[in-house]
Amino acid sequence: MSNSLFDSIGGKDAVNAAVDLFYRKVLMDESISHYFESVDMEAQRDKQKSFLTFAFGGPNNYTGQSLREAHAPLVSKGLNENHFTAVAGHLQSTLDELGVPEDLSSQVMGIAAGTINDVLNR
Amino acid sequence: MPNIYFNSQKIPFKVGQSILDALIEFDFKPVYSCKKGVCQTCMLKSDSSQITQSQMEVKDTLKVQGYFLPCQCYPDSDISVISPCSEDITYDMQVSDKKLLTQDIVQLKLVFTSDNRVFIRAGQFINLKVQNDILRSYSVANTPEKDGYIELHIQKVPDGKMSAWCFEHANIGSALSMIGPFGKCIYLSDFKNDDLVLIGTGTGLAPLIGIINQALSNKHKGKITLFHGSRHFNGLYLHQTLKKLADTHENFYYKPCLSGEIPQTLADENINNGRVNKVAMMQLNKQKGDYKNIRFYLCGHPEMVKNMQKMAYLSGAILSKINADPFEYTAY
Repeated sequence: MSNSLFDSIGGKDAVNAAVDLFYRKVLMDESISHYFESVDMEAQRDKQKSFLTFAFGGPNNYTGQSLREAHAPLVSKGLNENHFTAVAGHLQSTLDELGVPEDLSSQVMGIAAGTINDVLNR
Repeated sequence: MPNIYFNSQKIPFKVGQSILDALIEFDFKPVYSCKKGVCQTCMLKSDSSQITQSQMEVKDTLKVQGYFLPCQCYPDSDISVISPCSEDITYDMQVSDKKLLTQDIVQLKLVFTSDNRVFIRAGQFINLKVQNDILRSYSVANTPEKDGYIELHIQKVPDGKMSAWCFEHANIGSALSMIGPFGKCIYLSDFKNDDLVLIGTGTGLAPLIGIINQALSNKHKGKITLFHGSRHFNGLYLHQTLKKLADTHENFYYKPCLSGEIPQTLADENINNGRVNKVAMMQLNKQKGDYKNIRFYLCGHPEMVKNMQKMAYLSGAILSKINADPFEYTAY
């Protein structure tokens, strides 16, 4: 695992530093926050953490199928490309705020972008 | 070869192997995901000292209850572990005291009928079972360990079977049983210097008063602020007790809130007008305190708990320091 994206970006510590920045941005964005509101915010935060671990190239069990199943109910409530782009924007600004170098952040954004068809159930 | 006792089933393991890997190898189908100590999905419970190394990433309030990550745990001798949901043991209890706090809230005190060692912390809840088929969750309102009994505050629910039993049938000596305890809305002595903000509606006050009394008897150093909300004045059912508590403890502040109109007769009672979460946010913002240093305890109406949790988090509070316990009422 030497020199992997996950290690270069800072591993678990980077995920921990990013998760609250990211989740707060998402919750404060009224165009998407209703998709993320949950009574169990800690569980929701843990999901953001697994997503970030995945996008940072870390160990995860994300599969196209699980992404599809998790987002399908939201797609039927109108989740579309605009929402996807908004979340991606919050991810980018989280990375910028943390000072992640561009060569690494573009890899992260690439991994995140690769989920669009599964997330939007296309 | 040493053994893991998993929910009492014996599993031999190789020294150097993680507990999770042993469970996978012997086909116990444990729930897990990352195997790196990140995702916490594989969490189990144990009272062994061999788990310390595998508790680094576990939240403090779970740590003290023996939760650990089996993917990070490499024992070198016999160890007993249980899955957190296997605690389906029922304990026989009986009512030792009954008192009406208001027309709609009854206080019950319960004791174990046999010599049971069940460690229940202030702020946790238990599932109460009567007549073999009615089961409901109630928060404990005291520190059972210290007092030798469990105190509950039970709200009358229209057509509620359990509250009907508690109001009409429960008498001193009545038998019932309990399952639990559950919940991580608890106070630890490590929190001694933290500022605590406790917000509750209705009988959501019960776990909060338990936590407050525990903190005060622990000589808590930080500020303790309690916001208790109700629509009508009689819902502020510990008003006099809490006023007295605030008078005798300089670091305890009591902020009663009424969402309904405040009658003229209560003009001298220093009651805040408005919903308890709104009042709390306004006063916290006014104090310009640093949200990330505050430890929150939120209990009661699910909408209040949910809204307050979100507002506190967005204002900078740390999610693991927000203990939320929404009371879902069962209307039957």
